[in-house]
Amino acid sequence: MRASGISRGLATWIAGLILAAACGGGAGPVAATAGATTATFSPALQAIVDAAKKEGQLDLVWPGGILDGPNELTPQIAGYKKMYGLGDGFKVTFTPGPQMPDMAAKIVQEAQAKQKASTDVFLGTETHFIVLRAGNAVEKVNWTSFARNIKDPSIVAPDGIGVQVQSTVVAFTYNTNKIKGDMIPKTLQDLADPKYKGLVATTSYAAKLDRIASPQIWGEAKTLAWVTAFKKNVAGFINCGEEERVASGEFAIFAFDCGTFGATRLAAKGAPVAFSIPSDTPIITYYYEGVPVNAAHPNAAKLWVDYLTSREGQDLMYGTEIADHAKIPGSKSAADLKAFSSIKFTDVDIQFVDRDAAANVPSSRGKIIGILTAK
Amino acid sequence: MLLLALVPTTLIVALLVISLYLSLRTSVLDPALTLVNYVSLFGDPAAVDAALNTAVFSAIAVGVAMAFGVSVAWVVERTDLAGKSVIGALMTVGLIVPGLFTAMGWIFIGHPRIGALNTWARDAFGATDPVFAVTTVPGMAFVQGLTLAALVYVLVAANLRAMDTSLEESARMSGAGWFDVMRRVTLPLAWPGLLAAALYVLTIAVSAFDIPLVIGVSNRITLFSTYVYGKAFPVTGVPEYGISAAFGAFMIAFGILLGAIYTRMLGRARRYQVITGKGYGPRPVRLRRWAFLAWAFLGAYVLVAQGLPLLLVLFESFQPFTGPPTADSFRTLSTGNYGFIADQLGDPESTIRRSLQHTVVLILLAPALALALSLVISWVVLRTRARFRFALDFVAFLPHAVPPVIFALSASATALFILAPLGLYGSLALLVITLGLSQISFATRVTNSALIQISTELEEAAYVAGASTLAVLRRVLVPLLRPAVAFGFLWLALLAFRELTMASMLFSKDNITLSQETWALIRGGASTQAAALSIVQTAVLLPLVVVYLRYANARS
Amino acid sequence: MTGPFGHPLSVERLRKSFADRRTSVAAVNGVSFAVDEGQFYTLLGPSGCGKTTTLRCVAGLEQPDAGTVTIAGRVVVADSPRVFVPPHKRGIGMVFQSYAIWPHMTVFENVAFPLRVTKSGLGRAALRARVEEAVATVQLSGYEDRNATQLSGGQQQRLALARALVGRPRLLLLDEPLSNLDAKLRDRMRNELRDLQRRLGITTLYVTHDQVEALSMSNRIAVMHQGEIVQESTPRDIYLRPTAKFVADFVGTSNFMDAEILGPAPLGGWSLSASVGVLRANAPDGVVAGERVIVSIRPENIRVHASDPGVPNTFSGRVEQVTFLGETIDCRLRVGGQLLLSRQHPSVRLRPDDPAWVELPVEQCAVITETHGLSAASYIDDATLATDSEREPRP
Repeated sequence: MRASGISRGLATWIAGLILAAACGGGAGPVAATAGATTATFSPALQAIVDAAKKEGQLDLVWPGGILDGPNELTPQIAGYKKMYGLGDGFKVTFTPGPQMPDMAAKIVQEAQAKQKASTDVFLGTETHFIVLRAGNAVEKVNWTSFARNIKDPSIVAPDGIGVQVQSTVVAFTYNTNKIKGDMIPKTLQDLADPKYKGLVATTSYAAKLDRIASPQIWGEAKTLAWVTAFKKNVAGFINCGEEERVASGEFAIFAFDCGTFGATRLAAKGAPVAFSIPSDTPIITYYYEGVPVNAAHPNAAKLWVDYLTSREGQDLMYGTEIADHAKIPGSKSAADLKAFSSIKFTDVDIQFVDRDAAANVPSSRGKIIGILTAK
Repeated sequence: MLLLALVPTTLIVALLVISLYLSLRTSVLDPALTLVNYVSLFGDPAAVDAALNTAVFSAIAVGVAMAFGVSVAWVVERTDLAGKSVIGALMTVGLIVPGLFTAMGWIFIGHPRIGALNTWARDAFGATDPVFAVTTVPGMAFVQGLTLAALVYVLVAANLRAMDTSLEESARMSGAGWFDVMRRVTLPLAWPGLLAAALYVLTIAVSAFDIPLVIGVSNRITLFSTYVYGKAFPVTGVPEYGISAAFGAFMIAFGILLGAIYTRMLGRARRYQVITGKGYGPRPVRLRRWAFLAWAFLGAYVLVAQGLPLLLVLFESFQPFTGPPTADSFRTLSTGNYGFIADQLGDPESTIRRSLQHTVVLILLAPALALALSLVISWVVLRTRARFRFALDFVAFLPHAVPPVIFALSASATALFILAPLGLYGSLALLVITLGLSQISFATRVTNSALIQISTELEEAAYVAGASTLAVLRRVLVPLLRPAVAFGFLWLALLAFRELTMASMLFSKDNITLSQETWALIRGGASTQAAALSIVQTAVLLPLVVVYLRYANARS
Repeated sequence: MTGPFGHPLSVERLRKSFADRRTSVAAVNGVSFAVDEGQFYTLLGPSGCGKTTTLRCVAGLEQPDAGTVTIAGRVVVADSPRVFVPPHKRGIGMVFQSYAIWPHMTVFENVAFPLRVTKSGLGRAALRARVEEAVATVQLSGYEDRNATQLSGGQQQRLALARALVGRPRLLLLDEPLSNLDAKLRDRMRNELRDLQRRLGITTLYVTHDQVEALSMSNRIAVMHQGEIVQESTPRDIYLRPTAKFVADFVGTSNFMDAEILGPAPLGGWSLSASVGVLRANAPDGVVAGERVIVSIRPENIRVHASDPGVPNTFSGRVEQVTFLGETIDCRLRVGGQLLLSRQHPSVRLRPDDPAWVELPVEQCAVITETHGLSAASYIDDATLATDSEREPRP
């Protein structure tokens, strides 16, 4: 019950944060009181700010429900404009768009056609950024040369194609009414136990299992053997974002989920769900943001990414998503993770995938999906 | 007129050719042409299983849809049942409620583990087996059939409405009972229209997606559509549109087959011209004591097929998160989601506000475009002796056969690579045009059946009286077609309102629609906010639909 | 008689084929005729003879393959240079078989339509006056505001007529306008229509398959068969002196006899050798001795005498069968090997097996020089007798 205890504590914390945000509403974003408007910028940053002012606008498109909060980034947008002194005339829109793979394909096509990109900022995981890189659809930016907040090179993707803005632990989401005590799975291996027969839902596309099959974690042979056993327990397939179907009791366990924040956010609403981190395969994944080539407002976009990695941006993010980037100083996610300090997490980032590629490790995805979906 | 008819059909053919080309490519990154998509689509034993499931699913769904759709249409259009215009409006509810909610609702009703029907039977009677398992192929097909019944109703209603009642009356006179009249006169006369409707919903059933995805995939039942989806749209990696396009090629072949059958039927249907210049005014069948039964039937259908999903959405809209209605969940009722909608509507920059504007434009212009082009096509097909007229009709049917994702992808690729200088890419205009073109399938069914029923002499009389082609269209044909066109417009508008796939493929911040916003909320884990948004939409649209139907009926 | 601009209507060498599967069927095959000012001109023939197609070509509803159509001196269809004036620019009035009353308009609006769409330039009052005049002409005054669908069949027919006349066309086209009415109403409307046409003096092209309509209303009739005009003349000539066996047969009932021209008769006309014996008849110009022809005589023109009346063309025969039909009696007579159908006044008393003298009055015998490929004998056996047996149950 450790995880559910945490989530209850988080819920209380969030309620306080929201209250604070509501009270401070009249004076603008709560964290913006740092008074960034008066700050002087480095010449490199000033050049970007001037260019952004000329662009006059920023259009953000990515899948709804991720990093956008309940109010379409309204506090972040206000903080962003204030931090770089962009003025009230500067227009920022956020529009919830297609899912990440569709959006990535769209951006690549637009780059191939040499047309304006659909969004000024692309949001995706390591997989999607690798697609964009292969399609020469993302700008290589020297972030640390101008950024005010992106200081740590370890959060910047190779060649500067993107910046990690949020980290998340991938885990199991379970129904706290149906799964109690010993039944709570502690390891990935646990889920191959026949006692979970008919209780588990997973993604039909084997989310993150392909990463487990990397020689950096389990390797293909062990993973496939596990999938073969696990498959017998699978009652059906659901997608990320459908954690409510665990809350409803339709399924008892969802493994892997797409991040512990799914269960945490649902628990905050009072749903009977919690998460459990597999101690044998603990992985952390990242959301990256980058600037597509042919973005209509590339400089405004660069400032946006810089803003999101600021403490203010991170705090606002944590306020609604219950996740920020654990490596950025002051991170609340890092504090949450302290409860799991015994666990050694593996970073599944672009470098992780690149290492496999360099070693010519073939993808196991097809085989895993083949076993999972076979009769 | 001929040229005008050629423009949309040429565009349709061009889009289909582009989709065939796409089926020969594996991904947006790889320009090489290959047959690998076809191999991976048809070479997999799982595909055979999916195809078998699809066959059973489609057959049952079409059967259920026809049984309910035709019965409702008959009662509404041909009898004197009081208050039946309400039914016409209620039939549209199914379109306003997002299909995902319908599927979700049926899980809460008929899921073997958590469905209310089954838990209730278990608690009350100790039933060990589920009473109704929605998580089976027939179960899903039944639910799909109920939703398709609304479309059958629309497609058949126009036919039944214009049919000469004297044919039925004379059959009654000669001693035939109600059932005999139905079997020997009404159905044989209406059957070209019925078959057309059946073929139309069959193509929908074969590529149906919402219900197979939400109910089927989560219970390891794969239909062809979800099989393709799983292959084509991995949540990680790049979407493999080529596989979808290969499926599209298969559906085009299937569509060509159905289209050929349909065209033959249309040839026969031409014999039944019903509106002549002679006294015309079909009289309704008097139900008398059967009215009670008719209401019971209509009420049951509307409640189960349209009411239950709506009630569920209503309930969920007051919840913090989605779950089956239980005693516990009644304690967490709140209006928070409506507060969210109100806030968003108050902000002119919010996505809801913008998508509202786009949606209004879309649902007015796309059906108008589709109907205008369809009138021209139908006119050429039915009123001229142009050699290619049947080919024209046939092409008009095709967009319906192609998966919308492929149709839209082709349109997107065209705007991006071929017609780049026009700046159509990402515009609302592109969405209007693409949706309008794809709606030609449905719209030509409406205009065809309406035009078939109007005697050519009514137009010829106008020509001879000195009216130009345009004047004939404006003063004679359009007014005569008005009831059918108005009815068709409503449904096309609602279909446009509901349309998600094409809108998603052609998505940009400048053309996002309400259906996409609703979907985005659901995908983003805010499905109860989406429910509130759906309720608000229903509350606004339903009265509009009732007023519209009143107006359209009053003038017909 | 032609108007100041030539014939109100002339049609020359009109051709029109329809594609039917792989073959092409000639519906109209070289039809020519001209209609004089004020004439009531009828195209008469069975269904599929091309009469309606001809009318539709005149109206512009069909585009002919070849030929010329001139309306009021204006060429509306021609081959070279290619001319095709669309129907709405031909200035004609037309009544359709179904009346084609627009159900979405009132009586007034139906009639006003031609004035409105042709931009007649009439003011509101003038337009109303014109419509009311047309409505009055067809005796529908007071019905102007009715919905057109509320009218009875006869009223709809009148409305269609008013609509066709309101634009004061030079030419009125009528496509079987009476065929949808019941028998009594049809008789009345037939007279009304004829009187109206005579009163207005409007040139009219009328299409029908009903010989009674054609004969009673027309100034001239063109009988059509298989896309061609087989005879064009006055109703009286068409009926009494058919020049083609098809005409004689189609227009009323006729007796046909195979015959051979012997030579000019001493008292005028020609002497022929027929199955009943040698008879005298008037033949068209150009016949020569030895030519095989057909002699046609109408049943009502055959006289039956109890004793030899001593006039030419009288032959001895026998009554075979008698059928009482009320206004007339039909009587089947046998003269040698020839069966003849005669129609007599009911006062004439005839009984089967009575001997009879059958007179075929010289002026009533029509000589048909065209055979259309059938021998007269088989024609009578197949057609006339079949008709008889249908009419009368054998005892």
